[in-house]
Amino acid sequence: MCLGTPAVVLDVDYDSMTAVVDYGDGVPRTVLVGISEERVKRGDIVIVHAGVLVSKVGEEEVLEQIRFFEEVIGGEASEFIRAYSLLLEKSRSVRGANG
Amino acid sequence: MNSRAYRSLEGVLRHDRGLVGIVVKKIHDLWREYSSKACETRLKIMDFCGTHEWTITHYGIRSLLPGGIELVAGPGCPVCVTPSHYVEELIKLALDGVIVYTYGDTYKLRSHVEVRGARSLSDVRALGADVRVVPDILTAARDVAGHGKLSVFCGIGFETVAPGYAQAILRRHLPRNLKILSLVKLTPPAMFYSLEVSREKPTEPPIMGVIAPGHVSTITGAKAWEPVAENYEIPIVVSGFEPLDVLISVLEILKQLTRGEHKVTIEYVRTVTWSGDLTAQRNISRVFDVVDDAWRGIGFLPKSGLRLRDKYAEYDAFRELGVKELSAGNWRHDMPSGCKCAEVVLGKAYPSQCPMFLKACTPQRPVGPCMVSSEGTCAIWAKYGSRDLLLRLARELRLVKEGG
Repeated sequence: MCLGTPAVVLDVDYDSMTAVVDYGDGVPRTVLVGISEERVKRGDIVIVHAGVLVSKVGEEEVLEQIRFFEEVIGGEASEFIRAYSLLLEKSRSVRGANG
Repeated sequence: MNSRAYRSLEGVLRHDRGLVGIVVKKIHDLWREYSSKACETRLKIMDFCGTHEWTITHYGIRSLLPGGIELVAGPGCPVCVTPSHYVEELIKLALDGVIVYTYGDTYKLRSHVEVRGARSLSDVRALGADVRVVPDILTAARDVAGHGKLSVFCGIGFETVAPGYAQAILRRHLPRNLKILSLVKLTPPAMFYSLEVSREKPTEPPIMGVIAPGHVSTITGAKAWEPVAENYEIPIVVSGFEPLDVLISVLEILKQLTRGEHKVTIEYVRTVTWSGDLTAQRNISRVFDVVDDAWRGIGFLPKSGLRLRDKYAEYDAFRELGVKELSAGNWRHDMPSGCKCAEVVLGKAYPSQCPMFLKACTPQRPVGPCMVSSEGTCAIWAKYGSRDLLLRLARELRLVKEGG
């Protein structure tokens, strides 16, 4: 029972430890926050399992994931890694410009 | 990071043929090196979690691997391992007028024996009882608050869902008339048992590597698997759920075996940490006691289940609704006659080796528990396993070489 669905956090209620999330279909749904409250805030990408928010996917973690792939796959994966790093940079600059 | 960047990563991990080609070639190269060095013609790797089995079968990953590498599914589907006894107890409660809330897959789970004309919660609903399918406990709590009648939530799951149940109690989301039947199971004891069992039959190669559950590990941390890796001296890779995640995990297992290493590695580094979420672990400990628990078709495994602590007895269906507990003394084999689910959940048999598979037992009319849930190995093979089934059939008919 590891089925997890990525979602974007729209709002967090730290008193009830619930969050309103969007799975990508535009329908807001309330879920229980199963992890530390300081790890979750509005705008985060999270993993939800059976109505329980169980993890957060941060930018640092994704960069670490890319580094892991580079380590295991080796130089042949560099094209993918470069393309994805560029996308992340772009995402960061768009967010910076908006915020 | 924005959601577009995340979706793009998912897309790469799911569809990037170039990257898959690179990883698959590396797996084949390394397999040749390992098999000649270790003089092995077969290597068994267990994919513990039902969601990994779904990815492997749905995307046909077995057909990309060298013939000598076998991926065998493990007991990582909570619906499959929930004892029949508790289904029978829920049927009785429903027939006695208690409203039963359940996840969709448990709704179809069949009991070993008939209870007052019903073999499942689906049957009992057809008989007129009030059984409601919900996606989560919060939805059940809100529904119960609306009608105020005595209700029970069938709380199956692994470590992933336990912090949610704990939070629902600690933050007082549950109305007093909603009780939880906590049937939560802990996965490390089952992994120990599966590996032990795989070493019992000298004619079969033992499981020499494990693809460990990713989302369970977000809570427990990858550290939960360290005793297993040390005890059996095998590599364990905590893996993500996209096809490329699984292939990279296989590659990492092969790398470790070739180097003679046996450590826990996190492939799913984008969500899993070594220590897990400490608040979630603390909440689970506050609300639940760890107990010896029964696994369907397997029996009792020590310290493998969670029950509500005395402090939260008011929410406990065992205490409040008189649900009878199983004990090692009264546990009985609870699989249908002829069904091989007990072997399938331990990776001792493939679904296609069961005489009932896709004959008497189908996703539309499941008999064994592994045919019920979308994470059950038999249900996954029935829906997506055509390539694997054809390959096994071709081997049996000697149309392709064994291991080829």
